[in-house]
Amino acid sequence: MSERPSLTIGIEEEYQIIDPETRELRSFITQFLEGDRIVMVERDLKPELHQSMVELGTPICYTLDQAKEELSNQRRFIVDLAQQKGLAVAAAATHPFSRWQEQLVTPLPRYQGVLEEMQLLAQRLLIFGMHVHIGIEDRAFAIDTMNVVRYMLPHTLALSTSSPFWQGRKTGLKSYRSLIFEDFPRSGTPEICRTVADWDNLIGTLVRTGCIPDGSKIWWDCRPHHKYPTLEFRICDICTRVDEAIAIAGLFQAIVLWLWKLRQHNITFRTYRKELIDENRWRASRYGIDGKMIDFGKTEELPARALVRELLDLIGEEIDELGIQHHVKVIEDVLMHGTSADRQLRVFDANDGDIKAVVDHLIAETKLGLD
Amino acid sequence: MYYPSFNIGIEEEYQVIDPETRELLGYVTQSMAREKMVVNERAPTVELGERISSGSVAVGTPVCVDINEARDKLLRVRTQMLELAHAGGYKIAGAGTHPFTRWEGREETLAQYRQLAEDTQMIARRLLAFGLRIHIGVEDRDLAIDVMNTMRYVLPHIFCLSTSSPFWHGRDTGLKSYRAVLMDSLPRTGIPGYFASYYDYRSYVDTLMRTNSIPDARRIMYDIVPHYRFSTLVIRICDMMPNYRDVLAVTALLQAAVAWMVDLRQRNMSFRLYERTLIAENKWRALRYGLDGNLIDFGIERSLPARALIRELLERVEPLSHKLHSWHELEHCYVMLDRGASADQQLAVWKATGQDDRAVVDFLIAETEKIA
Repeated sequence: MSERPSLTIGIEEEYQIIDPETRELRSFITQFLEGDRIVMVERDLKPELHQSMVELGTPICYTLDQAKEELSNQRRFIVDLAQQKGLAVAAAATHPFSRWQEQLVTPLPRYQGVLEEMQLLAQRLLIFGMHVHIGIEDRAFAIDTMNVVRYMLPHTLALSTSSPFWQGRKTGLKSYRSLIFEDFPRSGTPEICRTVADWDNLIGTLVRTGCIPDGSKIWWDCRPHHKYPTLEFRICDICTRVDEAIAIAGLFQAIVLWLWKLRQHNITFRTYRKELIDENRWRASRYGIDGKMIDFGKTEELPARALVRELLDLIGEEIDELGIQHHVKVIEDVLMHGTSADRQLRVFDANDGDIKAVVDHLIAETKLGLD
Repeated sequence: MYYPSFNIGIEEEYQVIDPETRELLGYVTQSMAREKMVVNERAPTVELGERISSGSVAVGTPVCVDINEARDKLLRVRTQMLELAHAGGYKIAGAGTHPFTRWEGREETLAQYRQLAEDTQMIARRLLAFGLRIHIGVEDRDLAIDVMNTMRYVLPHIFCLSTSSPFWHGRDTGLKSYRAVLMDSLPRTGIPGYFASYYDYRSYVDTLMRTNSIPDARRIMYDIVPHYRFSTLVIRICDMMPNYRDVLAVTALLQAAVAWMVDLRQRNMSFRLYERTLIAENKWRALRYGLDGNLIDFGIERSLPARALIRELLERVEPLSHKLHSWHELEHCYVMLDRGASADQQLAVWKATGQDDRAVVDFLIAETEKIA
């Protein structure tokens, strides 16, 4: 058996750049583009398809404490950079009202290519996620973990939900982003891959037949990264608050450690069919933590909150071992007071349906705890 | 081994159009489960709805023994539909989407849809996506699951022929079937996973029912599934097509492909099983590019023109089609390959008329009215 995975943490976030007057999304990235390069910025600012989106990633972090510091630095950096241009930053998986039809596409060949390939579907993809990388050096264990953690992905999605609005309307969902993304091919809950060879075969076939250039175009909710020795969790809406993002990253870290320890004892969590996991995924995007989810072991519907608490109990020992209790306990606050989506809906109702108030709320929460 | 009947059932969905504005007023679906037509309308087509529910349109027996009987029944239904509509001053069109009419947005209706225990017709109403549902009789349930597993591979190929929804809300989506995107955003849709047996499939359905995820098996709407009550496989991957000959050709192709899968099995062979992920690549290409794109031949791992792969499929199933006495209808697929699918025709009309949405509707109406 291989050594314990390093369990390093890396967090990528996709931010909205906002005009503080109109509260609309505002094109931003082109101000830093010279030809096809980003200039005059000391960090690795990644353009996205839409000009009003930017992606930033933390360096490799060895502890969750460090990840929190790096993520806070990163957010402080982008907030300052935007502020210099008279703009603001919001962390939410959809903008409450800006329309995709009106967004400009970043004038780089690769985005023109995406647009050409995906057409209207690419233009609609005005959504913002958080990707958490957990370092797993043994590829066989990474694949094994992907199969099993599929089960817990909906639970973490529920905790992260931050996209209740779309194009100025209440969608009735807590994570509308997860539905928009499903229009893309190769998205959603991963299929079961029995072995590393199974995964390599799949990627190899898709590459050889010209479907994709490499594994980076597999947009599953969880995937072994095509370059880094990490398992990448892509299921989550971007969290509006830093402490919530860190709590969820800690959850992923502890789950992987837990599965590694189980494996030492020849035990694994059961793997369920994609069709069944998708039921919970739907419930998470629809109701967030307010709904019921299914415990497929018991084949019983239970409140999502109870199932999240059960998960926290299951991995309690690992949370202690990693020394991340103080970060993970934020999840208890989320269970009691709601996710970003719930808070956005409360602000909307408290302001008699003033959707601009929701944007102001998001801008404020995005900066919370940074100073 | 039990030999299937390969009986045929065709369920079409028609758009009811205002001849002045060319807007969509309502739509009609045939539901074989209820053995009657169901009309869902907005405002002025109530009259049409009453006449249909009062029984003036006969759908006839749900099951046809072969493509010839299916042709007679289909023409009878279409004739009656057209007469009724014309009497009320409406037009009828068949296509996967209406080029420009907007009803409710997709956004607010998805959530409601999920919660209500409605039947499958509701999706069409809510999403305004119109499909063609083909039933092929495979009576033995385990054989049906086996055929479902293997048939998945050829569904994208056949779907290419049916694509008819390039427009949505007055916009060229850049896709050949936007309907497929709309449908696949609902739960339990798209290319199904592999099921080892009917028991395996049933235990999946039972788990969902036990956990209150679905009220019954009608809510399982994958591109191919065993019907919840009849002993048929229901194939719902195709867009609704305006031209009845296209509908019959695609139906005959599906029937012959099912017969081919059964024939292989009877000779102790099987079409190879590929992962859903791979088949989904072909479905994506089909909905994006239709007949004009490349599909992947996973046997030889090469990307080849869709038309070439469809021709190959037609050659493979031709002997089966002769046995089923359906070649005179199936052969029309070659015409479709040369002419283009309805989506291609619609785009050509749109470009030729300086992007006139209404001209596209007129074209769809004219194609739908061509009968016998």
